[in-house]
Amino acid sequence: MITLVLIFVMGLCVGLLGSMLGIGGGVLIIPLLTLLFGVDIKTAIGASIISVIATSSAAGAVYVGHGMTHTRLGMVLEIATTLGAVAGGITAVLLPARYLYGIFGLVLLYVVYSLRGLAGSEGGSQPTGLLDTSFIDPLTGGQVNYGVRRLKAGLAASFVAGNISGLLGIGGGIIKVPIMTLVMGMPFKAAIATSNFMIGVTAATSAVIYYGRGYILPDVAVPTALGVLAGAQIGPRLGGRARSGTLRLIFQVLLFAFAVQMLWKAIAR
Amino acid sequence: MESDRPLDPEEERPAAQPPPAAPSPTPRDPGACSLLEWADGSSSAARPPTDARRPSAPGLGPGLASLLPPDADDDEDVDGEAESGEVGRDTVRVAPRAGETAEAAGVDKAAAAGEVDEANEVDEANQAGAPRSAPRVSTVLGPLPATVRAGQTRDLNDVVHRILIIGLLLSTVLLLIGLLLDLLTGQALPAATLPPADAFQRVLELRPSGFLSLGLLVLLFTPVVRVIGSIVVFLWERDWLYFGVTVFVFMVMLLSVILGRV
Repeated sequence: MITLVLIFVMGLCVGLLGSMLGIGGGVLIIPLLTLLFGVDIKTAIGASIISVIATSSAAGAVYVGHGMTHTRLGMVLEIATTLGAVAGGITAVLLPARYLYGIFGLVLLYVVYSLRGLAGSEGGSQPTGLLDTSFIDPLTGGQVNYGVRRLKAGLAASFVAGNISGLLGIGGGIIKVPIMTLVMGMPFKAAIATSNFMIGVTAATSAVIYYGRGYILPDVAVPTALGVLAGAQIGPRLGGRARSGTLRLIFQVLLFAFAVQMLWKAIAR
Repeated sequence: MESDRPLDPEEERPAAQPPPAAPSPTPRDPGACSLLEWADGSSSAARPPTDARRPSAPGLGPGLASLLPPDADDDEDVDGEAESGEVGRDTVRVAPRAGETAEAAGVDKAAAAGEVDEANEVDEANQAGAPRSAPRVSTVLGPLPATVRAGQTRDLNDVVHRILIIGLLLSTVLLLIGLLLDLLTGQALPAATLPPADAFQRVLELRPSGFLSLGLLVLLFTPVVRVIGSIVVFLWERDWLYFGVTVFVFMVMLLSVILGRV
């Protein structure tokens, strides 16, 4: 009962922080559940993947309603993400826990690195004749026309993102969004929305494996998911999105500490 | 589909639209509003201004408005909307109307160019007295790209949008019921999930473990249903390329369901 409430509060904090920083909760949920609550890492991955599906469905509904999601591109890339997710999900179920700790630690280090500045990296997007589409930018009210470049590179990155997602129970947007903006030439907002659109299907693909294999435990997954949902609802109301460097720096330090601890768990024993 | 189509448009609609299976969430339900609002803010570093731009309609998420049935007169609701949001949202909202009228008139949708559909759509919206500043097609869509016809994408978006919201609301409700029942009976939460059939059975017996497992399953299968919905839309539009793409994705998901059991 007390654990239940504590896990819910943990989810609440993750949802708060995640929505303020614009990042999925998985990178926080898994270290917190394993290091703080002593939950088995595969159970933590199962709880995280459930929360990822919930937040992705909720945010996805809003993005799609805005017309900001490139649904067709998303569906093409989902071919790669779901294949990656199946491979990742099966691997995670079979792999000894210490390897998962090790891989998670390394991915966390990458996330710390990539958090330096994602939003500033938008190049000039323009129609390319491949999957051209458009959306209305809510900030300027103007219309943005754009197409896609280097679809093959996008497919490859999507496979990796899906694989990491299935393996570690995180969304994988942190891998897809930079590729979609920098390599495929998509506008940042469209990339975020489209990446989020794919995350639901990708996460569900590996989640059914976790469910079938008994790694989704209601007493961990339900309070986590409900907490994250509630936290993400409150987050944006607390004085807007704190995008100041301070919050991001705290977040980076936190993730770095988690990365070191996870890597330690992989090496020690 | 051309010649023997029933004239009654109502009979045709389920194929193109998501079946209104679950009682579609009432648009003005405050719970639904807040649920959408947080979704609005989550996982996005890129969209800080949206909140600020909706000063006089704080309760109504823009995504929610497009949930309203196309015939609903929701003029009052959108008054406070920023101009751009209104344009984008209106186009989403009127999409089903175009399909309806085209079908009622017996027009073959595959033959009708997207642009023509679009024009009808705007006219219809004007006649119905809906948005005062119904946008001209050209201003909303610009030069229509060859690969993606905007009308199609909007039908697709509408389906996806509804499936996601219904699935999310349903699973949240089930999880909350399970949690409450569990706490009321003073039990600890179950430490294992149930296979779908058992979960159903226990929901009928009003046992919390059933609600919790079923809630998790509904959440988990919402994206699967979304893919099925997309398949139906592409089939309806005879877009064979994307029909193939989504069927492939669906097969991969089925594969993982099987792998989870083995």
